[in-house]
Amino acid sequence: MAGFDNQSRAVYTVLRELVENSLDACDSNGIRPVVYVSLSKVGQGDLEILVADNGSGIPRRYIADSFGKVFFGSKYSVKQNRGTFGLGGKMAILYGQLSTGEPVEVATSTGTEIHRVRLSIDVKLNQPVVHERKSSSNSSGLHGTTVRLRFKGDYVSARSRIVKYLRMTRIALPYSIIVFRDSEGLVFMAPSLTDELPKPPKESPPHPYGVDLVKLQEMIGTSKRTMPLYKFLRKFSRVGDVTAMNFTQVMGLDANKPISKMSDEEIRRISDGFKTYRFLPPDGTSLSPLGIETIRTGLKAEYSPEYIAIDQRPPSAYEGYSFIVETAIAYGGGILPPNGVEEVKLLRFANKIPLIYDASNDVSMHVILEDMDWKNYKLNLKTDPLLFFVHIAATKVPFKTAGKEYVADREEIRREIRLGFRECARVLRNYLSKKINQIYRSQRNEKMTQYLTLLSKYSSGLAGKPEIPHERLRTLIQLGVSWEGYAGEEENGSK
Amino acid sequence: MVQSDTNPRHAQRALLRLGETIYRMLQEARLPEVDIPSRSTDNIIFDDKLQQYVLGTKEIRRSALNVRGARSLAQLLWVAYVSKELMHKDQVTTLRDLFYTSLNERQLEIKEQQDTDLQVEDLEAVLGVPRESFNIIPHDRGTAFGSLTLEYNVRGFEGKRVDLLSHPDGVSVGPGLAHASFVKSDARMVLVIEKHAIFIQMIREKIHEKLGTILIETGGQASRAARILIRRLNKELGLPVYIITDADPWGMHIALVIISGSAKSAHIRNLNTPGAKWVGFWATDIEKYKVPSLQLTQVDYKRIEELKHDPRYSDPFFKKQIHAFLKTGKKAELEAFSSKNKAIGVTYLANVYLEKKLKEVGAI
Repeated sequence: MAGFDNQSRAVYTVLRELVENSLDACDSNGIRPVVYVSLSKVGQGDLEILVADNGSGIPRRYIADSFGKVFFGSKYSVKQNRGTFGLGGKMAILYGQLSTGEPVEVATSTGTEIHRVRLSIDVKLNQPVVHERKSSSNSSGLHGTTVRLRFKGDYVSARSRIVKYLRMTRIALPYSIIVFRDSEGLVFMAPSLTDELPKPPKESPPHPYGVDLVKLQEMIGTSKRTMPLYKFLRKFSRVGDVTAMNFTQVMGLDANKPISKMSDEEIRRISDGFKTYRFLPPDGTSLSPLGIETIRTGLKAEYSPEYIAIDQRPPSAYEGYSFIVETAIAYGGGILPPNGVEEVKLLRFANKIPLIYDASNDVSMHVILEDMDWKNYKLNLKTDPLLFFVHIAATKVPFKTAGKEYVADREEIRREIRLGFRECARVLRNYLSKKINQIYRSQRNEKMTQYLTLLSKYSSGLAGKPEIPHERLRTLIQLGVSWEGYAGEEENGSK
Repeated sequence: MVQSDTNPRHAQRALLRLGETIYRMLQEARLPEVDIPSRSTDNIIFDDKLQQYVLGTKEIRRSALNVRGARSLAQLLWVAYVSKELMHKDQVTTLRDLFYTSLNERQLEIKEQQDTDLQVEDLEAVLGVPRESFNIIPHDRGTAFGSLTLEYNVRGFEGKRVDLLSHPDGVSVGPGLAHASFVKSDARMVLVIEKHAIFIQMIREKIHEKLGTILIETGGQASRAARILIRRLNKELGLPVYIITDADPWGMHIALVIISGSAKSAHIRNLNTPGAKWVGFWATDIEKYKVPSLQLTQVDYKRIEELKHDPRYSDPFFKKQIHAFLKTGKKAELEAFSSKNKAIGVTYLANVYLEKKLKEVGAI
């Protein structure tokens, strides 16, 4: 199973999937997340994880399916989500069941009753098997979900990655509160950095840019057979009546022809037209980027850098999925220069999920190492104290593997990351050259003062007069410094 | 233009003027600046009347407009200030001493002796007086021997005499000797020698008696004192001057500086001896006399290239010598003549080569 290939990785994946489910349960309902996680050792070297959140809770009739049935299927409306509805969480439950034979325990409440369920998954039938179900009254009215799961795993070797994951989560969700108590009794606490909640994302249809032929055929296949072409086109993001009519005209197609009657050649023509026609760009309303202030708050709290350059790119699209890239480069302060052994420091996020493993394969690492001419920005990856940050908010993130660890090298995304880092690097360079200039100027000021004071001392000594007051020299020092830029070296030949 | 003779009152006035100029600029909040005559080889012109190279009109403006200029100006004023104090206290200092004294003034950021040496030269050019007149004296270098009695004029030594023949190792040539009055001499000529060992050898072989010559050893490039002494022997006693050096670009240039003056002191007059003659060891003599030779090195070639573009080498004879160096790629030291000695203690150089060369130029 992807993400569970070894015992160290398994701890990380189980923890991450359950935490992400909890954060989703809060985030998508506009609740500020408070998540408690604990790991403890239980008999025979197994681990038990408990994840509790203050999310909306799960209504009684959905509980069994939510945790015990793996959903497959697709929808055309797309909305940015942490994962494909809890699939990862169910994989974690399945892994726990397979490695220990123990069922999962769930307690949840939407605010009325508290439901406790012990269940496992019947893999062959893809059905939940409920072992025990209890309900009790909820006098406090609190809502949320608690999941308790046993599994096999090696926590000690996964610890550093888990801590990194939690720290990165705090950067992406500075409004959340996460407390983690590990099996060694150590407690990691991440209090919230801000009170502001981001707006929840809306659903949106796919954008024509990048919808390929296969996908188009699929969409035609699932639409009403009698639907005329122009109405079908209106299902796409940023396409209204005017655009739809104009598009058919430009492509030489009959706007009123039912889509089921379209020939293969005509469908191909639509698909090609999607690439060449100038549609309105994707609007990104379905996306929830982190935002410049959130990124700044998070990076500041975790690294207290000297300077942070952040860029948010306009919405773009690949294969009909819209996405927004956010990049940042932090410099100095708590960020140390590379020690010669470690690689580029890069924090990667996709739909607010921290990505920890396989950084070297990630598209953003390719951009940093291959696309950027850092010399142009007077930056040196080997010696400068740099930290890179990239967040891709997309209706679908093109993960390369099922383990959701790194983003595939898609040209549309690569381009946006490149443009984002270029902007950050430009802003950072400006900051650094200003700073160097200031240091240079103040050093020059100091030197000028020194030399002019000496000139005053010796010339007054030669002329037999009192030394010149410092105030008078100061005007000269300012003059000298401001002229410096224009003064060529007039000395030559004598030396 | 600077005269080689010292005039303390002139120097004092010039120092005061320099101090007042800078002081006034600072007081009026103008950026201090000083124009210094350029002493690069592209600013030296041969003056037919003086028979020496003098500075052209090119000047370099040193100003406190930038940090480098301000520091250099501060260093120049420091040297001027030291000179004023020295003259006031009737003290002298050498270039080396001045350098070490300057290290105390940390803020001047003087790092090597070349820094202060250059400031002293600049100050000479600005003030129009040689450094001896503002009490910065050179290290003694050079030795003299032969039929010559002199009387010192240096303060505290007035009236004291020295007979160069009475010192078996020769007498050190410093400003005191260079400016001493000539009392008596039977010499018929002056022989200037680049190397001390050859000089001592000639004394032992009594060349001064055989040829009736005053011997002066320069120890490489002739010091100002040595050049002043040579010039005065030529001008005041009417003695012809002959020079022998190694056959390499460096030896050739030692002779040329004695004859035409150096670029670095082209701002000072009466240091050179236009009538002096370089009689050897020429590049063209290496093959003629079949003397063991060495290959020219990279450094030698670089020096020859520089000399080729120097206006002082426009003379056809020197051009021919440069050409010979480049053609043969060879150089030789005066000591190389020892390979031709007939008996121990009777040198080919002093007894054969030198006589031959002097005959060639009509000296004997």
